Amino acid sequence: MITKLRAYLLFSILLSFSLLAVGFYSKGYWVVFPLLAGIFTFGFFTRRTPAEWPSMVLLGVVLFAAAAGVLRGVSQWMVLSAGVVALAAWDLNMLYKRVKIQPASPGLEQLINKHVQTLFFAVALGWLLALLGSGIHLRFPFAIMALLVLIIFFGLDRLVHGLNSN
Amino acid sequence: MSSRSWYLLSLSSGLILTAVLSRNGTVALFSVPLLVYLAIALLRFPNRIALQADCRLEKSTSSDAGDVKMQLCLKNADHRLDFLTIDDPLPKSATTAEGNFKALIALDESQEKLFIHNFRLKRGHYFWDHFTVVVSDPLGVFEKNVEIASSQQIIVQPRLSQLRPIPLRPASTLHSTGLVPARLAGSGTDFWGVRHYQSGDSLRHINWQKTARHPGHFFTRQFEQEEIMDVAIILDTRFSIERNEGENNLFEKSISAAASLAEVFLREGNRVGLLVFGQQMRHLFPGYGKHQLNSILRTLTLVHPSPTLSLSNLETMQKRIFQNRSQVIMISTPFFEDLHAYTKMRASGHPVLLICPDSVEYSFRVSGDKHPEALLAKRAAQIERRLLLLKLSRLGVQVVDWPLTQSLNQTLITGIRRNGRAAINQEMR
Repeated sequence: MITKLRAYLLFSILLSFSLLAVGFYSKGYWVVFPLLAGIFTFGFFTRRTPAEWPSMVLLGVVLFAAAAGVLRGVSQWMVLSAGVVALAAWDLNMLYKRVKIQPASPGLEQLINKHVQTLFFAVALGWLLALLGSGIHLRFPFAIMALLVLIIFFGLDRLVHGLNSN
Repeated sequence: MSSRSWYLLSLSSGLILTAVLSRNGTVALFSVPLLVYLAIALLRFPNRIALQADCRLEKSTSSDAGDVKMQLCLKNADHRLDFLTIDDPLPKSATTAEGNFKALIALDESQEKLFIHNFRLKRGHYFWDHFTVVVSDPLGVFEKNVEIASSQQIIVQPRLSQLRPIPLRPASTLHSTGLVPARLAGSGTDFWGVRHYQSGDSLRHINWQKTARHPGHFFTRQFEQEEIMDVAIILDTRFSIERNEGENNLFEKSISAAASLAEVFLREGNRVGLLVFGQQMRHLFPGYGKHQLNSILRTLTLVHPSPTLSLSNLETMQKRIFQNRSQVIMISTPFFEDLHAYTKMRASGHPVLLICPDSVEYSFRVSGDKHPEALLAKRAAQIERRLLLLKLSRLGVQVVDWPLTQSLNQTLITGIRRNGRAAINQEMR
């Protein structure tokens, strides 16, 4: 089962990298290749670290690189998909690191299957909503947008507060 | 909340802020999958957690060398829990022999899971009042620590090594039958002398050779009375830190030696008391039997190394706890400043047996320094130590030098025999 999990992980990393590379390259941005090589090298040398921070850093870099791609006019569909698959890769990497140090137990396969199913559902839904969202073109004045963002942040803060108090 | 959920929230906020600053709403769309992921994780997080645990330790007392078996039965009394991990309740010093609690598991409704862990603990007193189980959603993003009360404790006593009886000849003994030669004529097995026959003497003990040489007189063989003795074990805990490092360190060896000596003397029926000398003095008044051995082992379980302290503090304690002229067995690495205390101990009539672990050899072995200067320093330290031991033996202290390569049993037998021969030679001179 761990081999299967590793295969999912490698596939999602490759897919994310390919989508980013194709998206940027189609617009003539070569800069993505040294960036991907850097990410790959960093990931390779930190792959045995039990700490969570290297994969967190890599997810952040990929997401912000994808966001930069949108600002540079790279295909929205490509970079959005790359970001979503990077999220899945990050999650699978976390699970893989956790499972690798566990002793083999009878319920482990079922547990991993359940995790992968939930992840697939979450990622697919997120990707679909983001793609649907990209079709909505609303124009707000900056002040209203800032207000909306403040409301979102306030909502997140309340959510965190509620979770911590529970 | 876990670090992962915090990170995803921060990342989403960062993307939204970037979208606002760049005035490009598409950038904010990158936060949508992250927020959906978080929302699904939150929705799948169990509302009610009803876990029950039954933890059992195989035994409540163990030896430093023995395995301890811990069984933990975890039961889910409510809805299915997808992601569970148990925080390892063992101290860092524990070494695992078999199994562990670190499994990532899922528990269905009313399902039970049994964990068995065999481990080894160092000397000490350990207790657990709860176990922590980390419950999370199937994605492992949100976590909640559930503390399950379960009171368990274990005392890990010092290691006992089987010692052979120690051939001591104390100046005074207690007047109960035992195994120690009492320097008195009586009902023992070793020949003591011959005297005139007295009515009531057993005919089996008549010395016929001497009787034949003196017609009209009868002579009886006398045997040396064997009695029990009063033993005062003093454990010196003034150890520097480097002598308390490593698996089988000098300090632990000394504690194990004190425990083994107490065991062998009590096994022979002697009365044994204990004084742990250090910053925290611990003592046990002399006593007999298994109960006393258990008390000694329990006291030794809680002993820690102490900073350097003058041995003159020992005098008051010793007078209060131990009988006059009782056999003192000191386990210590002495200093030159201690000579006065040993002199006083000898002057008050205590025969003293000093078991002195070779701290110089141990310190250099731990440091592993092979430089010529270090070797020279080692040689100087060894000379100084030998000089101190010589001075102590001149005070009448029976010194047993304990090299680390030898077992205590071997050291005691050869050391005491050598001391006995030296004493005889001195008497002859």
